[in-house]
Amino acid sequence: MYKENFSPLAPASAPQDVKMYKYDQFDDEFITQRIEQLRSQISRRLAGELTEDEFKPLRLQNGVYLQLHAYMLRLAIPYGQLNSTQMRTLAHIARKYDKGFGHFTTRQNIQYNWPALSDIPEILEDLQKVEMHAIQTSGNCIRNTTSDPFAGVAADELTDPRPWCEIIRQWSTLHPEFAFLPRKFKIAVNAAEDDRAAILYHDVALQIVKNDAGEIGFKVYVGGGQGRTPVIAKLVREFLEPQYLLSYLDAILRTYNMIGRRDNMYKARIKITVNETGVKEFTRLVELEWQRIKDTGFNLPDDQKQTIFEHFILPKFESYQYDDAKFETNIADNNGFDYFVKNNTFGHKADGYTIVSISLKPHGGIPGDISADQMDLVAQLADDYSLSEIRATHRQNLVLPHVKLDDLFTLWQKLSKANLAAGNIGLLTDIIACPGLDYCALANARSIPIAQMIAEHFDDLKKLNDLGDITLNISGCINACAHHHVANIGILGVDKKGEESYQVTLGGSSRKDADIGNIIGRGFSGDEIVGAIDTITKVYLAGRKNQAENFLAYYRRAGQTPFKEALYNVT
Amino acid sequence: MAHVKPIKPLKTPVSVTANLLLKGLTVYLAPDGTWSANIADAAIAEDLAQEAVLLALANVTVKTQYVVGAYSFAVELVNGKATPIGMREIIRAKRLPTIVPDGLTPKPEWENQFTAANADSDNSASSDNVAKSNESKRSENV
Repeated sequence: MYKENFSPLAPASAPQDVKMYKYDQFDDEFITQRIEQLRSQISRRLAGELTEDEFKPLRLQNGVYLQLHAYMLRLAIPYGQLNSTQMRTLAHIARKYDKGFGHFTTRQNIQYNWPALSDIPEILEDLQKVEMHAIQTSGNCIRNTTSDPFAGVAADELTDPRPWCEIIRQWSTLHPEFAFLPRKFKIAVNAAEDDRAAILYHDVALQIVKNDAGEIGFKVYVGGGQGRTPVIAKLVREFLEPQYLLSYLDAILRTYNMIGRRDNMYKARIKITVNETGVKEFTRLVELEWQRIKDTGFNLPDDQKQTIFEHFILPKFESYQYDDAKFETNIADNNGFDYFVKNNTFGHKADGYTIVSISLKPHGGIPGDISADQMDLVAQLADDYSLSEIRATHRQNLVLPHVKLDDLFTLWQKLSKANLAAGNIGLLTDIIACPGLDYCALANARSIPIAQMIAEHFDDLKKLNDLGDITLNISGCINACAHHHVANIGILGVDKKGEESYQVTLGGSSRKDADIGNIIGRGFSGDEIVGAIDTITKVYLAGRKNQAENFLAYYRRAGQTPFKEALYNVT
Repeated sequence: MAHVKPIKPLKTPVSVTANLLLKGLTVYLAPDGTWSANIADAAIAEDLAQEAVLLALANVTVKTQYVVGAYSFAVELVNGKATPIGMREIIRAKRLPTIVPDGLTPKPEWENQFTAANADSDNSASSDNVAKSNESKRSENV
C-alpha cells in the first residue's frame, strides 16, 4: 500500500496556488522546535525518564490519545480548509503509518486510529512539509476554530469569515495565558445567513453581521456547548467592532480563566461558568475587563490584518457560457445524478460555479471514514475541478468549493467509481457518528454499527428524499462528540447493566433555529433501534401537512405525543 | 491466636490487561508475568489476594516502560480460559473494531502485531501505578 516514491509535492498534476494562509519562516521554525520537543519527550518516556502521568499532558497537547486498541492522532485542519497537496499527505500518512484510512471529525479535523508512538514525530515532520500540525487538538486549551465549510464562496454569506478564523488561530496558538484553561475551549465563526457550523454550541460563537451604518462586526455569543449539559450560547454583545476582536476575546477568556471552576471537571466548561454566574453578571465582568484592556491590550495592527486578509483573496473565476441544456439532459438520463445535484450542490458566488459536497456516508459505510486511495482521488479531483481546494465539514463530509457547472457531471461520474457520490447530503443517512466503542476509550456503546444499520434500512434515495431535510446523529457516550443533542433525531449510546442501549432525542437543531432535543422515553436495544427510527419517520410522514413541512417543523407543531404513542403504545 | 483476615472473594474472576507503550496495542498478563495478545493466555484471579498479585506483577512492566495503563477487568471462565464479559473488553480482546472500514479487509498482521516479551520479574513489584478494576481511570477526555 505504501508508495515508496511518495512525494507530497509531486502530484499527478500540479496543484494550483490555493488562497489560504501560508507558513512564514517563523511558523516553520516554530513547528520544527515543537516536533523536536515531542520527539525528546517520547524518547524520555520510552527510556523511563518520564512517567505516564508526566507524559500524558505532553502527548495530549500534540493530539496523541491512547484509545482502546492503539494510539490515536488528531490533526488540525484550520477551519476545515485543505489544499490538494495536504490531502495527498493525509493519504500518505494513512498508508505509511496507519491502516490505510482516516476519520474526519465534527471539529473539521482528521484522526488516525493506529499510529505507533515512535512514529508520531515522523508523521508530524511529513505534515510540516505541507504546513499542517496537531497542536492544540487536545487538552484544556483553545481548539481548532471552526467555520462554514462553504466560507468565502457561499452565495448566502455576508463576507468571508476565514481571515478572522486565521487571526483567531494565530492569536490562540500557544497563547501563554490560555494554555491551561479550566477545560477545553472552542470558537466558531459564521458569516452566512444559514448556520452550517453549529456555532451556537460553541464556547464562543461569532456571527459576522452588518450594523445599521453598514459596517461589518461581530455578534458575540458565549457559553454554548454539548456534552452532558447541552446549552445554547447566550448573546453577550450585539455588535463588536472588528478591530477589537482579539481584546474582546482576551476579556472573555480572562474572565473564564479567573472564575471558571477547576474543582470539578464536569462543571469546568464556560457554559457552566456563565450559567452559575448569570449571563448578565458574566457580561458585566467581561465588559469591565475589556474596557480596561481594549485600548492598551493586544489588537491586531492594520498592516498584519491586511497581510492575513491577502491570503484569502478569492481566485479569479472563469467567465464562460455553461451548457444548460446538456446539464438538464444529464440530470434526466442518469439515475442518481439528479439527487446529487439536488442535495450535494450549493450556490456559489461566481456565475457558472457550484459548491459540491462529497458525502462520506456511502451506503453502509462508516460516517467520516475515508481510505487513502479515496483521499488521493479527492486531491486529484480538486486539482482538476476545484482549483486544488478542499474543505472538511462538521458533518464529517468533504467539499469541493469551486466546481464549474460544466464539469459537474464528469466529476459525479468519477466520484461514483470511488463510492463517493452518494447524493444524501442533508438527508437521514447523512449521519454524524463518533467512533464509539469500536475505538474510543470513553464510549459506552457502539455508534458505527448503528449508523450502518440505519443506512442499510433507509437505502432508497427516493424515499430518503421524500423524508426530506432531516438530521440524525449518534454518540457513543454522553460526551456527545457526534452532537446527538442537536440532531432532529439524536441517538445516545449508554451502558445499561452491561448491555448497549440507545436513548432517542427528538427536536434538536444545530442551525439558526438552534434547539436541544428532548428525550422521547426509555431507550432501545441495538436490535430495536432501527425499528424505532423507522417508526419515528412513519409518524412524521403520516402527520405532516405536506412535504414542505420538514421533520423539525412537524415535531415543533405536533410535539412528542404522536411519537410516544407509536413508539411505546402510550395514549 | 492471631486473627486471620478472610480472603474476600471477587464478584467475578478477573484478568489484567494493558496497552503496549510503544504501539498502544491491547495485551493480557499471562501467569508467568509475560504479556500476550491473546486473552486466552491471560492469568485469572478469583479473589482479592490473587488480583493484587497479578496487579503487582503487571506493575513490573509498567515500570519498565513496556506496557501502560494496566488494570483488572471482569471475565468469565470458558473451558478454563478467561473470556471478557462487557462489550468494551470484548472489543478490546478482538484487537479490532467490530466493523472494518469499507473496502478494507482485515489483514493477518493486524491480529499478530505483538510479539510477547518477558517481563523483568526480578524487579520489585508494587501496585502503586496500576489502576485496579477501574477502567475509567485510563479514559482521556476528548
